[in-house]
Amino acid sequence: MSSTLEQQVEAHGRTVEIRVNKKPVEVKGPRVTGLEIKQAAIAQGVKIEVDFILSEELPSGETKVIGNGDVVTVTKHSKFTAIADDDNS
Amino acid sequence: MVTQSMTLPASLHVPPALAEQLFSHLFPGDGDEHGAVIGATVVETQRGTRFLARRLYLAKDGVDYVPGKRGYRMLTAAFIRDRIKDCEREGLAYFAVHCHGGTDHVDFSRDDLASHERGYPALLDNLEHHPVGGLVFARNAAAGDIWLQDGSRVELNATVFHGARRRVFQPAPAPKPAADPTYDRQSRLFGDRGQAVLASQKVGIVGVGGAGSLVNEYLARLGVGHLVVVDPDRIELSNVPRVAGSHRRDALPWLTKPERPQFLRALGRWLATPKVRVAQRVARQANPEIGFDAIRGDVTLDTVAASLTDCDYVFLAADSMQARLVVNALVHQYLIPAVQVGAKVQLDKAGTVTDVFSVVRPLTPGLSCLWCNELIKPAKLQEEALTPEQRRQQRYVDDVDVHAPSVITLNAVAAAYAVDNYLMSTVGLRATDYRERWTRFHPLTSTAFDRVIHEIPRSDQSCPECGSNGRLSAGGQRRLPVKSTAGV
Ligand SMILES: [Zn+2]
Ligand SMILES: [Zn+2]
Repeated sequence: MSSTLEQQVEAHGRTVEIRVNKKPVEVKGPRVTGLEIKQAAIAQGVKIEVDFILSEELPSGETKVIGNGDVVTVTKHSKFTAIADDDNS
Repeated sequence: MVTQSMTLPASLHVPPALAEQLFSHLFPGDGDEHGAVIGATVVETQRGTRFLARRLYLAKDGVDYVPGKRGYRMLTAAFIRDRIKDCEREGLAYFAVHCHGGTDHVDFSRDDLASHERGYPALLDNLEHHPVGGLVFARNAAAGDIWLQDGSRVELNATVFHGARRRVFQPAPAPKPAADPTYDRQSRLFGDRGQAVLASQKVGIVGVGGAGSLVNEYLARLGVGHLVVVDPDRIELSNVPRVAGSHRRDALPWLTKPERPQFLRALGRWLATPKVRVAQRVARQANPEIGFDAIRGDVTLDTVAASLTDCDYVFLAADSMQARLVVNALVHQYLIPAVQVGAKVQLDKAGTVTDVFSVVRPLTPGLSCLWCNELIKPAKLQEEALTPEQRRQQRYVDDVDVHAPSVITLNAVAAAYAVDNYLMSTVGLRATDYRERWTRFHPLTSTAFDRVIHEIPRSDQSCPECGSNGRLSAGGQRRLPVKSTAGV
């Protein structure tokens, strides 16, 4: 079966450099789950844990919570924050 | 389950998504009358009966809602019959809904009342265990005629629409209350009506440590009429720097200081002032007439959680996942809006500060949920369910007995912002298009842009906690996720 290079790249995923807590993180994009983003960030030395709350930074200046199973389409402009989920009152 | 009599007053509570659907159906802009049916869970509380709207059935114009034989319009018998069956199957009260013109005043017409007299006895027979009734809406007003199984008939006192902007509909605007000079300065902002609303409120606070003790003081000074304060703990010396109103003597330092023998320190800790008593002292100083329920106990016990089911609002300022689970369930199951507040000083393994922030997460029935946002972790719930001994044996978990950093100013940011949110919503100062967000404050972040983060919470219609087929508006039909005190 023949396929274009683009299709092959699509099938295997291409590496996209995103930001997690301002640090560069490479993920296999363009479609990736919240959990995969956190796992990639941890593997690449970002100081977070898998159960941190992940949010995507939106152009509006707001952020949007991304669940572990939620799939997001990332580009090289994608920025995420991950913060601890517990707090102390 | 038999609902024979009702505690008055009666109020109807409507979650935001359902309210939006109802309004766009009743008021599409054509000025005509439209109809619907609401199925509502019945919750009896000491403060009256709360009907929690769980199902909304929109009547199609010309099909289900047709020209009337006696009045202007009517619901068809087939539509009514099917809805009665739906309500019976789900254990809900049945309310037929229609709209009238007008804005701030609404009342049933003579035709409306005559149709209730004709039709409702038969509906009561068919529903058997629950009330039936009629509701009529204007753009800012609502009235209800509720028929009980015992043959009595009561009026609906208020319809409460929950959301970032809380709205209360009555048949007519309430008379202007008398001004209280104590609150002169603040009622210049939200009016004597707003002040009277605050005086009528019953607000729960779960946890009166660093954040909750400030919430308690703010609410009491604002003139909230009744507080229900829940906390199992007693004051320790290390609480004094951040628990509002606490004194060193509350911690009995002469007994608990490190050089005392073990048994004296234990005795001191056992005799120290409960945090709820400190909160009560603070609240009474601000307002001697305040209603104050000091509940020294754990919100995860059934009896303690039950004491919050008639609150108008709940502040969650406790650290545990279990407390989050219970309060989140109260929000959706009983339609009680809440907010989670807290602060975090995050350290890495070497003890270096990696992040500092305060959080405010408003929880709106059916909309924003700690479960949907993965802020309740099953693994941590299980871990908390272990005894301290079991926890010590499972050393792979972080040592929960080590106290995390906690600073009054971080808590104060969260507490003040959360109370401010509650206040603006409750006194009705919010714009119609107000969009609720979760908020984090990061004082150490380098760029100003990132110091205040506004977060859009996830929401999942299939969520068992906040979804319409889950706990939403289920009231007493579901058990809260609590431990039973029976037999203890
Ligand atoms: Zn009418
Ligand atoms: Zn949910």
